[in-house]
Amino acid sequence: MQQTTSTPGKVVLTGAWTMDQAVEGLSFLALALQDQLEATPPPTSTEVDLSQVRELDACGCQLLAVFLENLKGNGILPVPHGLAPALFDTTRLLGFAGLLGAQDGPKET
Amino acid sequence: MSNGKPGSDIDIKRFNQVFFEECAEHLVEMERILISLSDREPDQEQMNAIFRAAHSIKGGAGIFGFDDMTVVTHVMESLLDRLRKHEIGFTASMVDVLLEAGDVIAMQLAGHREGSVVRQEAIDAVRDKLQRLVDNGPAAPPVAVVEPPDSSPCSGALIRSLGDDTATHRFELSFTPDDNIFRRGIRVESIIAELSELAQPGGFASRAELVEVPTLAEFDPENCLTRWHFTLTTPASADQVMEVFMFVADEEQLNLRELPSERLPAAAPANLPGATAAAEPSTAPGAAPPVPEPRLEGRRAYDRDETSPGAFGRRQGEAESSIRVNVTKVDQLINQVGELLITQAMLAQVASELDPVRYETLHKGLLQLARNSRDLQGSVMSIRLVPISIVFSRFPRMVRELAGRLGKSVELKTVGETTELDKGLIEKVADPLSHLVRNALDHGLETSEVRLANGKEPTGTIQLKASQVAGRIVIEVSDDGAGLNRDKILAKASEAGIPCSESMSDEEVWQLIFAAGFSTADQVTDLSGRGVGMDVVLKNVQAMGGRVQIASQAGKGACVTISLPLTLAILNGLSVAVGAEKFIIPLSAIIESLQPKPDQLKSVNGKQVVAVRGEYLPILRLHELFNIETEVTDPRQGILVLVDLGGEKTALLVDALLDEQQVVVKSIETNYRRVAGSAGATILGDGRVALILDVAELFEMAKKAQPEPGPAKEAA
Repeated sequence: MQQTTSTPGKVVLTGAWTMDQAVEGLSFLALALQDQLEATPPPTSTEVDLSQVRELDACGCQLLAVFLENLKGNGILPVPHGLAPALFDTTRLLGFAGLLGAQDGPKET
Repeated sequence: MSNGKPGSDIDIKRFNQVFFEECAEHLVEMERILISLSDREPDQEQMNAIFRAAHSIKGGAGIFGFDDMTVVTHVMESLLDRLRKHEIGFTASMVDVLLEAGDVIAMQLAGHREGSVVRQEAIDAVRDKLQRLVDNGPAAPPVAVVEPPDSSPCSGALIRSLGDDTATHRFELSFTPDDNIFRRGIRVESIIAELSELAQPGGFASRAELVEVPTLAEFDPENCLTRWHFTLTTPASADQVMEVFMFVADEEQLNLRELPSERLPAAAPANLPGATAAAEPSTAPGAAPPVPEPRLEGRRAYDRDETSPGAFGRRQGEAESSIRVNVTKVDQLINQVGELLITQAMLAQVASELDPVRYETLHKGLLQLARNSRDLQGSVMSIRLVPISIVFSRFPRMVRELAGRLGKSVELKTVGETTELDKGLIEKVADPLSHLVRNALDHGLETSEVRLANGKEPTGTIQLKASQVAGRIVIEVSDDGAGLNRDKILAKASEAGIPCSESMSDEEVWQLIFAAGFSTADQVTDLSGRGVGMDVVLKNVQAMGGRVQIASQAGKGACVTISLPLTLAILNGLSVAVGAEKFIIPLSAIIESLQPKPDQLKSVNGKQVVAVRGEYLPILRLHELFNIETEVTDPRQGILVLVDLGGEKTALLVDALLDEQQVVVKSIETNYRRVAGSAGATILGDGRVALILDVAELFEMAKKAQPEPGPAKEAA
């Protein structure tokens, strides 16, 4: 099961981000993007918390990468972080580590 | 996986089909090598080939989501790997287990392909056997092995298995998949993982690049917009790198080039849309100025470079010489050519009624059309022809196993394996040949002790020979065993109530073994001896329009010869008239035709027969069988066509003989319904439909219609 919660400046992604859930995932991300764009004032950067993501495949990586590019395209700097080490290895293998820019472990707050 | 869009399932099935076919080919290749080993240890090249087959099946299965098929192949790989590393020694029993593993994979393949039953216990059993060999294989004899200093357990094994030499290559590869790769259910992550396994430790880097960045509102998340760039340092060849993509990518989607060893992997292009620096290569070789070199764009580029092998598992040059086409497309083409021939025959018939002088140009054009049509037909029919080696290749294993069970020493020889036969016939001829080979092994060949006692070589020989003779395919199964035993056959036939006598010629005696239920085996074994073999062989061969002959010499061996038509789609036939109808009788079944004299006609149990050279043949009246009104009901007014089916003969009464012609066989069941006594239909030049007679079925119909023949009487 996949969920996204978003508040201005922060988007939290959970669950599996794979081909099977791609259409559903896109809907969540579209709403999350809308939340960021409609915030007053709009954030200059948005934290994308990936610490609760439990599965990623190439299709899911691509979807997240497009989401981050959309944030950038709207003048919002995405700050992805928190991807579990195993999933970070997956993104490295799949060549998305740079696009997702995810860091190991949860972000210190 | 489904995208909910029409057509996606079809796409997946189409690509699955490619995997199924490739997988079947790998299994055949693996079995061929294993059988060729006998009990010898495979050399390095053979070991690599078996490994590659197992590895390709595993990789393809993983990519297409047939995970169950990776279980056995994975343990196979482990076993082969330990063998290659000389961690365990080779034993002859490993060949048997590997063959069994191949059978299990074939069963799993059939399960996915045809929905046939998959026995999990068989999978578990062979996996356990393989695992036991992996864990407890015998110690290997000492061999000097040079291990790479930095080999790691995860990748070193594979590197050594795949690399035929110790040279290390550095490749830069970009992969631009088609945009529906996700929808097709292909796991890109499996492909990349497999690719990374080829690399030396730390020698793999991957970078994904979005080729466009749509807005989320416009984005179809199941569309692939990603291009991948890889660099890898590997002992694998370019061919092996390309093989990773063999099931998933066209050559245009791959761009591979080899980097000079002193050169850095190419840096990420800085100005590509959506590109961001991604995974850095783990190796940090010294920088060197880029050296311009020609791009090797997929397989075509390799083929230009004549020293490089072809990609996608093909040998160089093969790619251009063959393509894989669905057999239904070929059948469709054959049908269309058949329709063209019928149209051409119709035009010829119409033109024959026109003044040849006034319509000279038309006549010339039609003659040219006839020639072109026949050439086209020949070319199209040849597409369906496949080498008989496809069938022959299954026998080495069968002979090996049966010889082992029977305690006999046997050598199998095959001759003429490149002889081509219609694909439909290939599938049907396999069973009769299996019966014949089994019989030769079980009944024909003697044990080594008996052979030695008879002054023969201790090892018996079975030979399978195929050739094309006068428009037919001839397949011989011969052995140098004891030959058929005339006395024993006569005694058994008499015991079984089959009509026979001591005065019968050898050829007639040999024909007795085709009688239903006949067997000379002293013991019923699970191989043969139940008397259900040779009659089935005969029926199957006759159903293909073929004939079976036997030759035997006591103490020297026996030879069974099967003669088949080249194809089932075209038939040489004799068209005959019965009332207003026309029928086609297959020429292969016809002995002769005659107009009987009154003294040739006799009566047996109230049924009319015709006496031909001392034989009394029943008369089958086609007008009665097919309920046709005709004025010709007396054989003296019509023609009797004598037909033979494996020694059994009958006379078909027809009104007149019309023409000998090649006809295109059409299924009557598809368009109408089954008609008893017919093997199909054809469309004649005048546009009318003619039934093609099924002589075997006519025999059955005649038997039901009349009692057993008794003493002959003069016809009334």
